[in-house]
Amino acid sequence: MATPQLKLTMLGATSSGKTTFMLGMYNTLAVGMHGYFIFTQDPDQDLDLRDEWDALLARGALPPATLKQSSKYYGFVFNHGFTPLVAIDWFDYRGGAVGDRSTADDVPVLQQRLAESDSIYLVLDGQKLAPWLDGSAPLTAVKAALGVGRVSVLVQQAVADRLGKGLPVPSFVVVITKADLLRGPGRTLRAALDRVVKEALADLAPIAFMNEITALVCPVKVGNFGVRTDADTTVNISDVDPVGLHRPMIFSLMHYLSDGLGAKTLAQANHNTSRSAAEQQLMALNQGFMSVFRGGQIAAARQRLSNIDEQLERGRQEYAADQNLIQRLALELAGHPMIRNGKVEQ
Amino acid sequence: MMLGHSGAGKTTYLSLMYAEMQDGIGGFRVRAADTGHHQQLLSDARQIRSSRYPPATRQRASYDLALSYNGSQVLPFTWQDHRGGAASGRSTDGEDVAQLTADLKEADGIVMFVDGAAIARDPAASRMAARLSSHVLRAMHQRAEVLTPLVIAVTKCDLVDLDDEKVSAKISVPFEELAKAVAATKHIVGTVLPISCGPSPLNVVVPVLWSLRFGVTGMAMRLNAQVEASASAMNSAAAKDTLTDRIVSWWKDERSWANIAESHRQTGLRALRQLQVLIPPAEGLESLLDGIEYF
Repeated sequence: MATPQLKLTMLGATSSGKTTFMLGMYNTLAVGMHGYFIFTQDPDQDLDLRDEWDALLARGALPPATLKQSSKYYGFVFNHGFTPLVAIDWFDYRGGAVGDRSTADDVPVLQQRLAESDSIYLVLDGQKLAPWLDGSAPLTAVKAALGVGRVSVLVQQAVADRLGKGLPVPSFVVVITKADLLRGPGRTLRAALDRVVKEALADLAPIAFMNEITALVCPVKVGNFGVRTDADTTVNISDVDPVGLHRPMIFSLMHYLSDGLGAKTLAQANHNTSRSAAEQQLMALNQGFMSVFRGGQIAAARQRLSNIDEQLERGRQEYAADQNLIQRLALELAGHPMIRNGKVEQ
Repeated sequence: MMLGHSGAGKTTYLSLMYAEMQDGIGGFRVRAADTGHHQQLLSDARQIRSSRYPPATRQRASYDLALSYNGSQVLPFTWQDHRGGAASGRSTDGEDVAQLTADLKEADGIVMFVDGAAIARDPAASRMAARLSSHVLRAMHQRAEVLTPLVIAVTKCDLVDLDDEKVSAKISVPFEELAKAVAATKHIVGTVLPISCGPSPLNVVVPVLWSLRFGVTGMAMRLNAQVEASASAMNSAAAKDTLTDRIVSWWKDERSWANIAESHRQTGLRALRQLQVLIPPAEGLESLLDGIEYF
């Protein structure tokens, strides 16, 4: 079976923690986690991502600003053990459209990419959400600080276009970085997350509540670094404590496979229809006195039937394998809020 | 093929393994086809035994070697040594970086070298060792599912206390998940071996013999398939053998079905004789490597 290809686009404002999240995600999965692995198709990209991560772990150095400025493509392969699950074309978008400074050049690029994406990550800075959770800042101010208003509109447009064309919609992940800062006095991470989903998310990322959309809200952290400013270029290495970094990707794959199940069911239904037709044709050929002279046609009809049976069996096996994998992946996401057709599920 | 970072002990291992295999282990010996290689490896081994370690490999080196058993050649093989920096270099650093990726994709067996002493004392060394997993995963992704032995050779084990649980746990961290993935895969067979090339050598010949065991098994399986195919072709040709066919073929100066059947019989017999030659060394290797745990 060929490795499925998935296009993934990650968006977020400058300093939202996007780059650090991706470094953590890659490096956590590159050494393997719960049997899942990731590697880059290009060995040089592996070195780039690992060197940056090593700089963080060894010296507490955060990714340099230059690394955060330009958009970049990565080619990943996501494996379970040595079995490739999906090849990922990952686009880390860092253009002006995110910061409400869209130019004529970068908006069409982003629109085109969003229209092709199977999965979209919107990265929200947990540090900027914290004041709202503490009651020290209104949501409007937080929304402005997060700088995702413009991009949220672009994502909504892309999804609406796809729906209009009858195309499958992408999965959507709201990645909340710096999740250590969501906790507060008398407030657990869980409680903070519930409040964000119930009271803020519809304003911050309305796309998560659109019909046909399945969204995951996923808090992640690379460490317990506390509040930082853009001038802070280092962290204390003893505070590095990555949590949840692999989950967005697990969700993307799960959604992709779940969508595929629909297509597989349809294909099986078509095979079943073809089988009934082939069976009837065979019965017709076998009837009557002339049947003894239709040896060639009967053999051909039998062969057709046998081919369809093989396709059906292969389809059954692939369906069962995907279902099994989806169940395994779902275990990794247990307890995370998911929004399906506008309704929140836990 | 040897995979490892600079200083992991690949070149040292190769020389010492070669020297030890000159003395013979259970009837097995390894010999280089090139006299220059033979002398260089033995000379390096002598230096190592005097605690003078060879300089790091500066470029890819390929050694044509052959395994023999009780004086008869069993299996020719090529042992590849890359510059240590190739495993952690960028494609712009030199051609050998891309060559390492290409060689890994084609390798019949991989011996992954990690410096046990460095991993035990330095988290950065542990992270460097863990990077090797991506090389292995990428190589396996790029090729069909063929039987591949993977040895994780933990070198410099004389410098650490492997009986200390904390130390051994630390050493296994970089490849723990990789080992689990290998264990869950049918076509890759793995083992972890502590190695020491110091004054009291430990397990020096095991990685090469363990890898070659799969080479011998693979060769035996190919020969067995050839014997079966020849027998089947011989029977099929013999079934068509008639007196008329023999006369007509003689008249037309063509090969008769009887000739064709005989030709298949000869091919099958040659393969069978080669297969029979492999049985004693295969049994010998099995007995030598009996206690080695694999996954």
